[in-house]
Amino acid sequence: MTDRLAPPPLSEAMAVDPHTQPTVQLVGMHEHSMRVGRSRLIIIGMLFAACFALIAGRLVELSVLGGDRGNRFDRLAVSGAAPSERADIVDRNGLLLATNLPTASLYANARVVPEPAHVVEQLMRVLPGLNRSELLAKLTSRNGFVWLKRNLSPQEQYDVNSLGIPGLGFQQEQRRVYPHGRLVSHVLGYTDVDNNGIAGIENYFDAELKRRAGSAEPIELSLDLRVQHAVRDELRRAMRTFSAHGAAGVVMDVDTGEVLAMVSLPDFDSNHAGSVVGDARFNRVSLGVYELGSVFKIFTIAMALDAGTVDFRSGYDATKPIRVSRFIINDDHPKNRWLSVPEIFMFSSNIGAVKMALDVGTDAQRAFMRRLGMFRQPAVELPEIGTPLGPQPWREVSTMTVAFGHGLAVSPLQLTAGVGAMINGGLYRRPTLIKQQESPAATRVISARTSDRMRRLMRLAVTEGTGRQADVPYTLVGGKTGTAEKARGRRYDRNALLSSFVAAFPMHAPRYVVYVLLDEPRGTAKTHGFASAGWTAAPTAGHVIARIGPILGVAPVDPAQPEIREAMKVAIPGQGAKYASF
Amino acid sequence: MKRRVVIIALAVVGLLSTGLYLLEYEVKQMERQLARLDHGLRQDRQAIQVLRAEWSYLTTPYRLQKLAAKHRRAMDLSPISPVQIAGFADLPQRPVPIALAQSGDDAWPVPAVKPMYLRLGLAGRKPGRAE
Repeated sequence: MTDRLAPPPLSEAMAVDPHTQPTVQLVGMHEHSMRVGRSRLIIIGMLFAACFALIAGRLVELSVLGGDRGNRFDRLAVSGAAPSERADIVDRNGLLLATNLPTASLYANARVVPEPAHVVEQLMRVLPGLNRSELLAKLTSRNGFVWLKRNLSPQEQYDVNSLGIPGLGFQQEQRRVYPHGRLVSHVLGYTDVDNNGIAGIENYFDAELKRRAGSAEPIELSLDLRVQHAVRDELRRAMRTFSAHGAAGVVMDVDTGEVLAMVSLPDFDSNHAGSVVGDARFNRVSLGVYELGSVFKIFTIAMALDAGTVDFRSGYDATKPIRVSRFIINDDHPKNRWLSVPEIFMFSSNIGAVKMALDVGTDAQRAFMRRLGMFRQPAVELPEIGTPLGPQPWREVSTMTVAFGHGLAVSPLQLTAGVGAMINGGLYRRPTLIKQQESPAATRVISARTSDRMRRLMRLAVTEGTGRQADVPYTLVGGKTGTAEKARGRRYDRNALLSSFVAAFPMHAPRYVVYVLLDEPRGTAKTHGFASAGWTAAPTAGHVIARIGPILGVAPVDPAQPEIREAMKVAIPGQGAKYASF
Repeated sequence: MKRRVVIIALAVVGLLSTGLYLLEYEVKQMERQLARLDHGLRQDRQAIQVLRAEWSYLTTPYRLQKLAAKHRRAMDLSPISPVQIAGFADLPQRPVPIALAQSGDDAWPVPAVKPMYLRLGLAGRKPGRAE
């Protein structure tokens, strides 16, 4: 601009283009000022034009192209889904087991709250559960944000609100709610206050539940809530009747490995998992490992039948107890005679089972047990999984004790899955808590023929043997008792029993395995003081089956029908054919 | 000529701005409506969620069992026994020569194939706990 201030050469001022000739011709100083003014006007005009062009452009963008509000439909789509931080969990029939509900949590800005001591008094009146000194410490902390109480009920929120204390506020939060309380607690587990799963399915599928949050896609468990309740109800009754310390129950579908019920008592309320005392949170079905006793004879006999070392006509002398090192192996229901294989099973002869296992051999027995998953944790969808405890090293005496279920501690879930494989035609399927769309992969562990024989034997044990009290009319129950003494230090305690019963039904075409375990039951007058499995666990299993059979739609079976009689026939040497169906 | 152009231009500007104004106004209205519906939708969904939880809570088997026990006499309810389950195969065929159990006015038809509970002679017996 400086050069414009200098007077222009006269020649330029004089040489005027006729087309741009201004109407007023000025010369000298005036002419110069005019030119400066014009050029300034042009510059300012252009600036304004640019500004207006910008505004016009923005207007066009906003009104025609929609501007940055174009994604309002996206916003709608997002808010359209259920506002949730965690997906629901439902049972196999779609009944809600766990969901998130909105709640309000109370916080304070301690810098704003006036007269903390007075506020504490007011708050304690409406929220009596709070800790007075803790509350005072929080309110005098000069922190911008302190939680005072999480998850208030609507009434509490209203009460606090009506106090009208400045500096207090509510944060909308979500809380995990378990509508069925105690019923499914060990399977579902629970979450912490920030909605992170810390036990059970909630923990195992924590990432998946968060990923599915907001989608209407719940996690579907294999559990059937009605069956779960029936099992829990009967176990509770049995615990009361026999003054037991605890109980466990499993119901499994033998064709899919789906667990329909998993109950461990004592239990807890998943909604208040933090306040649980004692061992209530301990899952006896999947985490507890026990020496389960005679139910293992199912495996011993199936192994021997499958290996071909025995058949129904062979047998063993059970007159004398077996002495090995410091052990004496005797029979609980001694017959003191030669026993055939079916009799060994139905009278639950330890001596017979031991001799049978020795004939098969240690290596074959270990291989068999390994195939049945008895040496590894079952791959079920829970974080609480017990590791089986076996004899180290495995000597011949281990082979003998494992034959009748001592020396090898497994979880009830492992046992149930193993028994399922014995009766479903010989296919082992891993137990699962997730609803299966089709029958999952299976591995063959015994032949279909051996499996058929095991069905007959288990039916025989209920009609003629130790499991009589488990029978349910027109349901064709089969099963095996197991009474184990609990180990106390290096000895077994005769008065502390684990009484269990593994059952299956309907035995001509088994669909479900039921396992019932009672921890230290006491005999009653009705059981003549006996606490063994046949008197305690067997009737409990019978009650469970009588309740769940109709729920599961199992058709009644008339045991007098010729084809059912034939399917359950067992020939016992010296006694002719036993029709186990009666 | 020049005047007409100016008038037409002014009219166009006037029309356009009025139209734009009305359009904008309408869009605002619809947006408010959208937000209202959106809010309502959200609240309804939340209410459904709460109601589903409540339904589940109120139909928990333990509670139903207690209620059933309480009103057992009034409603004549008892657990299903195994023999009460039947499949389609157990149903009597449709075109059966229906036998009449009694002659006379109070006769009733009897199916040709007896359901299981009749075969077993359990008819009339109270189905209950199988013990």
